[in-house]
Amino acid sequence: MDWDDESLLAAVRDGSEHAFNTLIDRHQQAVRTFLRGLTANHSDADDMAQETFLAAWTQAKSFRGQGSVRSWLFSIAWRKAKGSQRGWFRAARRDTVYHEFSSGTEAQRTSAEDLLALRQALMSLPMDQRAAIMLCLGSGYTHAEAAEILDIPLGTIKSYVLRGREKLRGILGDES
Amino acid sequence: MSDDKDQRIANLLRADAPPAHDPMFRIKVLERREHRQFQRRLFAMIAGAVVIILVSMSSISFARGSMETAGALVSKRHARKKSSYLHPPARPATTHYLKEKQMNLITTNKDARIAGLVYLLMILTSGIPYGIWRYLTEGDAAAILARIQSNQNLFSTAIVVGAIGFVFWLINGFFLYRLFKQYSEIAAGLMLTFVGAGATLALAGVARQVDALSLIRGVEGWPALSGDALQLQTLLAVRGYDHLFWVSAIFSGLWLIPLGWLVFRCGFLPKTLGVMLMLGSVMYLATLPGMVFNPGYASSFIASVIGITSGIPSVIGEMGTCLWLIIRGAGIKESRQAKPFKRFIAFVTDRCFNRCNVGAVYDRPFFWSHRMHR
Repeated sequence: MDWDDESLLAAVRDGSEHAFNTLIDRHQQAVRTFLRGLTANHSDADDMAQETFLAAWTQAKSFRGQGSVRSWLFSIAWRKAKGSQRGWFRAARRDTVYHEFSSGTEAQRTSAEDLLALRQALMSLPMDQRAAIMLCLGSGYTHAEAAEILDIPLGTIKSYVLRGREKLRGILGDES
Repeated sequence: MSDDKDQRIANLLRADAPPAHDPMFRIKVLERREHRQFQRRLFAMIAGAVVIILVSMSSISFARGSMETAGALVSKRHARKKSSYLHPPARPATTHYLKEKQMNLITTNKDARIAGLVYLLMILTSGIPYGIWRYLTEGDAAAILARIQSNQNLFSTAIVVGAIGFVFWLINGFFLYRLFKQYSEIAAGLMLTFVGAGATLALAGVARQVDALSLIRGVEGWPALSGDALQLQTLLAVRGYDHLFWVSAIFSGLWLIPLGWLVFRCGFLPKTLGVMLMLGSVMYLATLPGMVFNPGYASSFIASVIGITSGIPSVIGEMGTCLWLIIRGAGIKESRQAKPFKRFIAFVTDRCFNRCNVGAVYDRPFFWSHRMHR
């Protein structure tokens, strides 16, 4: 049975294991991608993503139906990321990251270099701005939705995205 | 051009995306959830156990206080009686009363042997199923499921015998309490409290074992699981039991401390066994913190050190105590327990000639209770 997200969450609220498993399977990729854009390495991001789904399990009743379930999950993930923000998250891990992406063919390596440059640029931005870019450019959310998820004024989101986009474009322009 | 760049940025931002279907991530979330639930339950259980211990200790001290107060308020008649008990004026039989007092402290061989036998049964019925359980639940989820499926009868037997073992633990606690309470009522009471808490927790864990068995066998009304889901649910049930077992290990360690102290103090068991029992408690007490803080604790260096320094004394202490109790009893020489006729003659002699006869005190007739004698 293909349930919509709201029905799934209602079932999770009633303690359905099956619904919870489906919810994880359906949204884990988006949530993890978002968190990977915010943190310096994948294991931290996955750790926070697991915490996000745990919070979804325990706080399913707090979903009020405003916005989509995915937005709600993103807002939980964002709170987790802000809560876990520590110095070591911001530390540059160039070598590790480069190693992660530098294997493969010549074309893949060029792409890996782009990705590395992009990640470095992302990591140099403040966390709020990074999150706005990940949501609006990476996940395709509108500015208004991103403002709601991150609980930041709409104007601020717009300026974050605008400035962030310029910076990333500049980096990609230089690279090309 | 800018649209191209935007698209490229979006693609690069999504290049880090994990796979769309990642069952391992789901399993990690569920494992983490179980771990959290376990931590919450553990905290509640420890808090409950602390409350039980405090209540027991305060009840024991309150009861002792009440008895002492009652003793202080006895009438003059009773006080005189007490005085005559302590300093018998007419009788040259001071030793008679001293012996009588000592006699109350003497444990019979029968009591000691029963306690030892129950202890041995407890060790056998807990130890063997534990070994079987460890063998069946080694490895990852797939291996555990396969092993249990191919050894269902062994698994069921281990569950039932294990449950009997925990019941024997409770009974053993009671018999040891009865055996040792005269040497220290507080230590014996603490021991019984720890046994009660530990056995209850361990028996609660048996429910998780039955869950695992029901999942594998398939019970009417339960969803028929297979593949990943069955492996995961079985793993959770198995680990749920392990977690409860670790919690009960706290009490498996704690009860050895008063038991060791009582063995050390009672006089009819070697003091070395008491020391070994107290040392042995460390291994059990270290299990839960070790497992919680370090998932690879079982194979760690510190676990090996604790296993050698505490596990070996624990085995020697427990096996030694139960075998000693069975073989030697309370160390009373059988020759001192006179035949009924001889006891009757000694009693009549004592009554008629009003003089102390040690044999009469030790071997008073079965119908002559301590109260009547006094």
